[in-house]
Amino acid sequence: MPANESPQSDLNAGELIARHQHGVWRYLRMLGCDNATADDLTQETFLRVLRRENFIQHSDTATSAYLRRIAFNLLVSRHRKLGRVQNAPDSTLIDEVWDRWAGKDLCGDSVVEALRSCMKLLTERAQIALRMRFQEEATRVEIGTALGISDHGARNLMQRAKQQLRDCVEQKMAEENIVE
Amino acid sequence: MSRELTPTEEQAVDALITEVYGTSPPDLSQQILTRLREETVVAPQVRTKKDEAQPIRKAKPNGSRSWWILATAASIAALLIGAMFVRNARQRQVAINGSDVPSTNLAIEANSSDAPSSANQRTHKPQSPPKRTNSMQQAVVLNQGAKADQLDRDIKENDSSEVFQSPREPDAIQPITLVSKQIGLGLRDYWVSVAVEPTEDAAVIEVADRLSETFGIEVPPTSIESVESFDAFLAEPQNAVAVASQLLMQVTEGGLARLDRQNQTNLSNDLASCFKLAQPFDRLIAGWLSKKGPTSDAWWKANSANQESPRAKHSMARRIAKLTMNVDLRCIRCHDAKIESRGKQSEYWSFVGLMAQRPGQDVFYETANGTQKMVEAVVPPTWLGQTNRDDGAINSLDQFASGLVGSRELAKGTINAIWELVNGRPLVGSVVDLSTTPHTDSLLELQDNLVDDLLASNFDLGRSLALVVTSPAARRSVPETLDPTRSTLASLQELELANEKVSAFAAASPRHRKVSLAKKIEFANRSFADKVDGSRLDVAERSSLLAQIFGEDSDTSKRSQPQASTKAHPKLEAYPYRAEALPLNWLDSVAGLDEQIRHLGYVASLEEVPRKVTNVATQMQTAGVARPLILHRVWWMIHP
Repeated sequence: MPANESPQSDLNAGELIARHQHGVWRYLRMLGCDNATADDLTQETFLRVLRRENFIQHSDTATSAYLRRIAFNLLVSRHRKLGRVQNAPDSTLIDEVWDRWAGKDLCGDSVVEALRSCMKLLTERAQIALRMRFQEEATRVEIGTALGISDHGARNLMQRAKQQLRDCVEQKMAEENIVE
Repeated sequence: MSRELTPTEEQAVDALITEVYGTSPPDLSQQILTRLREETVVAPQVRTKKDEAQPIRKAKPNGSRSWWILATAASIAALLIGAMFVRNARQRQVAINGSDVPSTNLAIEANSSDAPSSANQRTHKPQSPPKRTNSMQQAVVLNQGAKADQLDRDIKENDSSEVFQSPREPDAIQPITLVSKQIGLGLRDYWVSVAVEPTEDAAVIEVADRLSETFGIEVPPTSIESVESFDAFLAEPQNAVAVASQLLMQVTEGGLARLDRQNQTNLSNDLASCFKLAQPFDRLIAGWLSKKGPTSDAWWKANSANQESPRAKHSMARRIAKLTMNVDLRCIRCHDAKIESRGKQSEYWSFVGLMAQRPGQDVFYETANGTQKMVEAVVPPTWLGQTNRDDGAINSLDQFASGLVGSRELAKGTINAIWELVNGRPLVGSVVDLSTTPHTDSLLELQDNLVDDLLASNFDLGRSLALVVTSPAARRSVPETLDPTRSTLASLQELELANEKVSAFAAASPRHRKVSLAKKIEFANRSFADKVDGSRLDVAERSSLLAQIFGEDSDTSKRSQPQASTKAHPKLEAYPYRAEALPLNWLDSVAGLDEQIRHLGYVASLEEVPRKVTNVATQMQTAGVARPLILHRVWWMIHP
């Protein structure tokens, strides 16, 4: 049993939230929520659980999976409420990615740290492209112009960089034996 | 060489990169705990087993809380009234002192392997009263005896969506007057949740006229005064048969009419018996499906009208899946569901294989990218509400039929069918459709109430029909804005508001004359051809054209007369002259006008859009008519 796996029968709301909120929030972001929606649905997820007087924690892993399931269902309900027409997120696929990367690190801190160090291994041009895209929200055309390549080239550069990041993260996670 | 990123992986990597570049997960502890504390200040609620499985609504402002208290008080009052008016034997046997049951019973019963299955609860012996429990005591019992299963059950019974909902034990039957009150309150709650104000109640005689037209028999105004009076109306055999016939016409999409008179009568009589509880509807449909009932052949024929056509199996599968499992097959014949998360193309072909009498055999189909795939002819277990995909294949009609007995999915499909018969659209429709009712937790709760009641009543169709017919939704008046003679003068905003009310069942939809497709095409063609310069037909020109093609009465003065005109011929549905948006938002993701028209055809349950319709659309496109307007006009021509 991992060090952070702590079976418990007594529900401590504060502890439950502290232990799992980052995991739920990150999971919702991976499902495509923006920050504000992830904030809202994370709160609602915990409220749903804490309102249930008969909720019992068996293990952190089971609770984490349960919270993710509720979060996913809330997201689906939200889409329905808003009458939003968009592709429904596929929880099976994202769960598979989550399990592979976040694994038993319930909150996903390790994978973010791994990603942070992997990003330093990228070429400077790839780092510039990603920073422009994700920090400055630049368009592909703007990124291409800054790097002297076409927008298509910028897209390919970022795609390759993300692929490298995925491989690097998975390797690091395997090395740390977080992911079995 | 490393493998390519999947779209899911890319989405996950994007989310993490965004976090690395600045947006870390916030600490929401204080917000959550504060909201939780605020909620606990509210008067404690005793939550029932049913409540546990129902969506929990967000804490509402004080006004809503008052509403809840009023609703509870009304429910209690209705409970007492209901007890006084219980008339039939079944209801007389129901005890209503639910709150006296020892709290531990529920938990013990919920975890007992001896708990009767829904199929075993089909007798109308005196039933246990609704069980209520103190939730804290329930938790203690669960802690002692059922910890191991609790989390799994919680996941299956997750209250935020029906996506993972598992079948529940049906509750004990409640007095119909109480359920009727609950449905009324639930509807009003729903209208609050979607922020629409219902129109005024229509005159009773007008409602009776509408229902007479729907059921094809005279419905006296006195018969819709209460659920009991409508129950009494259905107790007349000729009334029950007439209503059953219309319900069959609807679920078979007109297939009933293609049978000979004797078979029509036999099928209608069979279904009418479900109104009088001579037999439960789930048993009847199971008998039909398994080909063991005396009228099975007729039922299959009615569902597979046009048997000569190779496409017949598709329309038959679509109709049967909709009624029996509440599954919409329209999109997944060609691709996995893109808008709703339910349904894959492989599941579609599995089911069609079984419907085409190829149980257990392999079925071949072509995917959207042209590759050939093979599946086994089975009913996808999830369509029958089985949450575990490993529950085993349902690869025969017998297995399918037995899976429907006591099925919650069948109950949902049945409630939707009844609601559609009375109100024109299903209660919880597909988001793929036009005018789909906005989905909220309140709507799903309303659906759950009706479904629970149908299950508890042993699939008594007459009872559910009486609840729907006497619900506030069936009594709404038509918004003035939607009067065909006025709609062309209304602003788009006014029309949008009125349509919002109609889509939420907060207003009645105007009745329209049924006219042939050929006439509609002719009108669309001439209306368009007369105004190639893009200018509108004025009111006089439009009336003249209507009169020429449809024989429509252009004298609008009669419409201002009072109720005497309720039986006047309904008007033609207004032809679209304005449109800013596509009729369906998702059509935007479909490339090309031809494909968009084809998809509209699928929504209208057509195998193919008639060539004459596409020709008119092409002419409009050539003349520069905006695409949204072309698509609205195509829909006007082809929709059922």
